[in-house]
Amino acid sequence: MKGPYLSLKVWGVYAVLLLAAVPWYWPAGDDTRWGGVPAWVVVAVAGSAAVSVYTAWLLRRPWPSEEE
Amino acid sequence: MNEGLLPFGVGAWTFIALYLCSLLLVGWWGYRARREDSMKDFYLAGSGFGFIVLVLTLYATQYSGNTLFGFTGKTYRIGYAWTMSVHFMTAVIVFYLLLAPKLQARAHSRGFITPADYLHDRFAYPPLSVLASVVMIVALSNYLLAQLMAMGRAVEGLSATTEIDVYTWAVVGLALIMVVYETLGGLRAVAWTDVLQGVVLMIGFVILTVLVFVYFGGPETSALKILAQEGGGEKLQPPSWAMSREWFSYIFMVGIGAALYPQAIQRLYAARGPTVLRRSLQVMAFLPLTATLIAVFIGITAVAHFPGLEGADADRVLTVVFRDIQAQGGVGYWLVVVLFAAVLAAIMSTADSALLSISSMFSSDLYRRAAPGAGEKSLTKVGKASSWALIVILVVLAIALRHTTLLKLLDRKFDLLVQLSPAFFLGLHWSGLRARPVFVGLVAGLAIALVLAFGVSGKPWGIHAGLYGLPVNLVIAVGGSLLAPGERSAAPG
Repeated sequence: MKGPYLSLKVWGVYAVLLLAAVPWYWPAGDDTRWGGVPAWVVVAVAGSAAVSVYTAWLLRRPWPSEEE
Repeated sequence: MNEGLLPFGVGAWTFIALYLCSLLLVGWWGYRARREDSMKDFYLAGSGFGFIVLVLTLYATQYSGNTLFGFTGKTYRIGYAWTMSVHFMTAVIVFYLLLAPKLQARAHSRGFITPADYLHDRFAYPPLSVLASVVMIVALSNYLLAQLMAMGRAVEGLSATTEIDVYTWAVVGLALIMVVYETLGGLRAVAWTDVLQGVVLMIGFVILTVLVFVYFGGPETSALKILAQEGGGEKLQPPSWAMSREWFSYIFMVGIGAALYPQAIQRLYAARGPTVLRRSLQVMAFLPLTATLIAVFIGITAVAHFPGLEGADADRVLTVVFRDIQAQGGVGYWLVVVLFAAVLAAIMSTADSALLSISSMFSSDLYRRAAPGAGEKSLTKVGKASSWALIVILVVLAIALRHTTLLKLLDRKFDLLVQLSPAFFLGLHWSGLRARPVFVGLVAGLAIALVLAFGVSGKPWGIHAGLYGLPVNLVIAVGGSLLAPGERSAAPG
């Protein structure tokens, strides 16, 4: 039985989301704030929320063991 | 630390005492609900849990004393960069995608009790199963120790008396309550108390968010206060390249390591079926945004309003926030009482799960091997006795090591657990993976992680020691399997 999430596409999407969510690229010294929260934090949290949504979306399909 | 605190009155302590007694009552219900004196009934609650119990037990187990105290404390020290905690707690669920579907199906068809049962079934190589059990017991004992210390600090932070050693009495008293309900009702008691504790914890997080906004103002107020402090602006700055490396390191280290928590794996086993587990994981994917993110905002609020705490005092910054809310009015006082119950809930629900898991591994993986003729009843008894013995040892250690910071303890556990990932993640999906190379890889990975962690530094170049051991471990496991065609190959799933 092949695992339900073993595809390059799934892990490729996660790799892109990871690189976007961790603000390694954010310019040092930037002090933009949105609603009092540093802009880079808002982007990092939005990235994490995107990972959560994508994971929940992947989990919507039944696993092979549910169909047996 | 205790100077100027507002102590809880009789009413507040009565509320806390009633809450603790309700845990014992739930433990008793768990005992009454047992169907047989078997390992499966005691450690996996017989036929397993439905959706609500599973979500709440996963939630209460995963969000712990470390989330509340360690994470607010870490944010207090490094600032918004600890937003990485939201990422690494989400990563745990992502790594479950590789683990849960096949492991749960296999556990149900083969009747696994402990994580090492899977390894034995998959690799049939006793040195690997025994070493894996020892690694998990050591890692989890470390975790349990951190929770016991968090219990002591929580109570100490809200008590004004200097006549008795509050920390010591709190550790001893709460550990005793926990071990009583755990040995009474096994996983049933632990998971049912998790339901109670999970609900209290969720309510606690909501109250905490509202209170912090009402009493201390929103993020803009905090940001302006932090900017006015000398050097405070650093805590609002985006991560440097060095901090970004640490950020990636935490995501892989905690994401993989916490997915391999034995108590979490046993909850995958204890799910009533795959549908229940899949739906629970869907919900779990969003919980870091409610629990961990709130801890970050509380930590930032504390930086703004209570600067200057260092070391172990920074771990207790949450109690400083509580004290201030208490001091401001009647409603605040009572809400802090509920929050305090939530803190105890977070700590105890994680600690009891770790304790039960260690007990199952000691009894099923180690004692059963030493006494192959032992029956189910006697194995369960040995498991209960080991819980009591372990809790005595750890309570003594928690008292002796009270000035160590929580995060140091947390990091070492994952250095060890990630070394088990080739056996679990790869072993489930690749039938060519062989036992001996996995074992040698595990030994090499552990050696590198431990030498680097204790001999050099916890995080050379900002990367956790365990992540230096893991690639070597993986190369040996995969390379050795490809080069050793004669060895028995097992079907992965």
